[in-house]
Amino acid sequence: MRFIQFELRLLWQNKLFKWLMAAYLLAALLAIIWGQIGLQREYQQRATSEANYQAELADYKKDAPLAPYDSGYMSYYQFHPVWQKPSAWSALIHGERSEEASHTRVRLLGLQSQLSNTATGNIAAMPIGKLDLSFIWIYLMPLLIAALSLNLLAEEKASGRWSLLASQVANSGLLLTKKMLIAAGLLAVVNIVILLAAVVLTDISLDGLWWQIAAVLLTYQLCWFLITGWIISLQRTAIFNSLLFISLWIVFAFVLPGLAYLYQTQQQQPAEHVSMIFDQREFMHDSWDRDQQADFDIYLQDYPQWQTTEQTLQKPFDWRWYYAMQHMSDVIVAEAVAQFRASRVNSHQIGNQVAWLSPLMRLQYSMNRFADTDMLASQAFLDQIGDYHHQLREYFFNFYFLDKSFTLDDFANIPQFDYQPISQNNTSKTLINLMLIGLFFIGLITLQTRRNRG
Amino acid sequence: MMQTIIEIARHELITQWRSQTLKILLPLLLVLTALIAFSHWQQQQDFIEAQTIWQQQNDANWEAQPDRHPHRAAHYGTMVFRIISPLSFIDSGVNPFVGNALFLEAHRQNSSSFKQYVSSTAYMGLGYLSGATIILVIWPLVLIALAFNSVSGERGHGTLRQLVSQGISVRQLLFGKTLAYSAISLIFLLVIFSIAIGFMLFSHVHGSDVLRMGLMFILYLFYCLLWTVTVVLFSNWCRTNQQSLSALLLFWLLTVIVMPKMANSVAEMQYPMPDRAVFDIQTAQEIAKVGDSHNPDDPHFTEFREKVLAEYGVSSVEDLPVNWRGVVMQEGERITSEVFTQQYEKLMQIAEQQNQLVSHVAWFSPYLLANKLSSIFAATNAGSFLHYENAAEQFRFNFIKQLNQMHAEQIDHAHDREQKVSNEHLANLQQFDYQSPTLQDELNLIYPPLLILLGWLIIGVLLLYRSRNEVD
Repeated sequence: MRFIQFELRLLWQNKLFKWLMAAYLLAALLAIIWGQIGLQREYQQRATSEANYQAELADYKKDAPLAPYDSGYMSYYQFHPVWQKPSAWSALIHGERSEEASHTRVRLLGLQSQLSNTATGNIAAMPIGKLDLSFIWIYLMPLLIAALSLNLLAEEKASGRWSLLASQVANSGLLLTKKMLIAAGLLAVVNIVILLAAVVLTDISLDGLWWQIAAVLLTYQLCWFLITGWIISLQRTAIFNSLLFISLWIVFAFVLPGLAYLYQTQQQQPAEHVSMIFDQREFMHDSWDRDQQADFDIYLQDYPQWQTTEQTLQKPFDWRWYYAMQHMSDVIVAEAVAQFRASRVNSHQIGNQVAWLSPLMRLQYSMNRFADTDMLASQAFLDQIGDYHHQLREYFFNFYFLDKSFTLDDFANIPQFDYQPISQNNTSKTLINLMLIGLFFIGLITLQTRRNRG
Repeated sequence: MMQTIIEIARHELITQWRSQTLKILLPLLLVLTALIAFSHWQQQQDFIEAQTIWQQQNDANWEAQPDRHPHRAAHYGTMVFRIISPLSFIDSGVNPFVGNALFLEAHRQNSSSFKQYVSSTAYMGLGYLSGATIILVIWPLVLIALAFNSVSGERGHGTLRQLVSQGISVRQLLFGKTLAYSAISLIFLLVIFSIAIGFMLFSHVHGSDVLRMGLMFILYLFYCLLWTVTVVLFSNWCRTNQQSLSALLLFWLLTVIVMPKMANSVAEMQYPMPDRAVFDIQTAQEIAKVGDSHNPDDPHFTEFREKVLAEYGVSSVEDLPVNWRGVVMQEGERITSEVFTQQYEKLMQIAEQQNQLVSHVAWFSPYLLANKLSSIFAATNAGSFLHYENAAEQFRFNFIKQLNQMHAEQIDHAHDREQKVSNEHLANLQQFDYQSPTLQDELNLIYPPLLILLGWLIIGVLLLYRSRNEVD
């Protein structure tokens, strides 16, 4: 106990230590506040689109009941908002969220050409990116750990205290370990404070997910303390320590993620999914020049649920044929869409595999999953839009194919989009990965200590 | 004086040549950069080829289309493919982040865009892995690793005192060291650029690309020089090697990583943008405010009808010598396009405000300045992309306008929907002929960051020059 008190006092007197901790805490708090403001803005945007949606529907309600021909028009013009509702954690862990539009609108026309909407955003800022709490945790915390503990031994040696200390205790390695544990403990406390601040400042609650994220974060921290410990155990100069550490950090933070990306892109043809738009477009427009009745007959055969409809098309134009062809334009590109989906998921998997080699990448993949801001989330969003579009079709086709008028009550039953996040987390995988890397470095430390003694 | 400086530089180079750090780092980095440049070059060539083929297929499809109603053809639309700059393989700029294929049709602007690859760039938090990033982000670290102790070490070992007693001034020493590390940077850049030139020889290159590449080389050289001066100055100012190294690493972290990202975050806080859904809604609302071409009682279109009828001296739309529907369609398109352009400009103004804020921060981050210049020289900056988008919207408007004209002039108002125009007329429409901005067009973008960089370099050299002869 006295030892801890003494060490704490020593650290408290260390200006660098105090300033670094304060800067870290401050940056983290700022990132939390900024993140929360951003999240609230997303909710505001959604409120705007909902208000607009209701106002548009109200306009149609005035004319209710709508005959099928008029409600057909409505479906042509009426967009329905779809929103990948952000999790509370996405305020802290932005992930891949800004890469695709997470709030957009769809209507009853061919879906695939509506899905390639890009997100609005300042493209000049994209190559550099933004600062969120996850960046501070993933990229900057290792550097803080290095600054706190990398030169513990070298400094003690330089100050001349080391020989005195080492002569008084039997196991100098143990002493060093204790010193590092105190630094690690203090950082852990600061990280817990940050996590608790997030509970206070954001919509995050102190639930199972919070504990999982805390556990992963602390294991990550431990992992980097072990890496630092290994470097110290080499017993080289402070300068050698710094250079080795920074090289490792660059390999984990820059080289491996970069090579992983390069490998992912090597698996793809550039802009391969453009063909999707080509095929959809050709089909859709050719259908105007083909025998419309023949196409419609085929459609009714393929979708027997609509067979009770009047089989003959109205001249010169029939919404049933129009929406059937829009639907078919999605059906004929289904394979290309599946291919596109597979490409994305595969790319994500490759990155996830490479992440075994880098604690930094592993934490990022894991955090983005926790916050539901990764590729899987974005793909789930796309899949759910597909399902939603299907619901819309089923709903509105009832009126067009069964010749029902669209009444005031029917407005209330228009399907609404409600994003469901995937609940799968990779907590145990992440913990195992980080522990394996930790164990690897424990192994290196043990070997090194033996060598040092021998 | 000069001779002494060269002698010091020579000596420093020999020392470095024998050191482990350089022997390991330089070849490692060269191999990494060459590998990356090679695969990026290869991907770039594949992409350019794919884009060209898509464009040809699109154009062929357009020409081969059957006789169609002009409005049908306007919805059939056309695609344009942005051919990326041949220097993307050195500095990819915004290319991996934006869509490079635009689908253009009636009533809708930039409705679809496709990225080159579906992979996420989010995991490269320190920067996209490219030659430019290695030179601008990683090479300064190497310079720090090589030179942080170049002066503080001499001071610590007491060799500085010896040198001064031999009549060498600290100023000469600093210039000599700067010269030595600049020479190492020069060698690094020369190797990288000779490899890059090798790749360029295999592709179709314009004279302007050679100029751009030359400018990039000079920029990188200046940037490395600035970093060398910084490292030598810090090494001179700091008492110990450890202090020098810590201070330099912190400086690097702040100016290359933290400040740029923080600037973007603050800018986004300060000037928020509407998201995709809200932007679309705002645009639709603004269009509805002007006039709704589908509403028979719309005041704007009633007024417009009166005007057109008066122009032709007839009393009803059926008596017009042109097809009223086509005329309305064009008026609607004009409104849509104008409002969209306005709204999009508003959006871009927000982006510009954000960029302004970032450029204030950039005064203190040579990395941000060099990064901006590098992407301008490589023609991969945000501006070059927006220029393309703008030109595509112009083209789209004219394209649809010509089809609406056909609709007005060649399609009879009665039985409008059942008629078609010959595909020859359709095929004769002009194709998108895009001219990318030249360096001269972008001079006003180039000067400010360039002057600030030069300013920093001058300050740095002045500081070197004014260094006092302190030996302890």
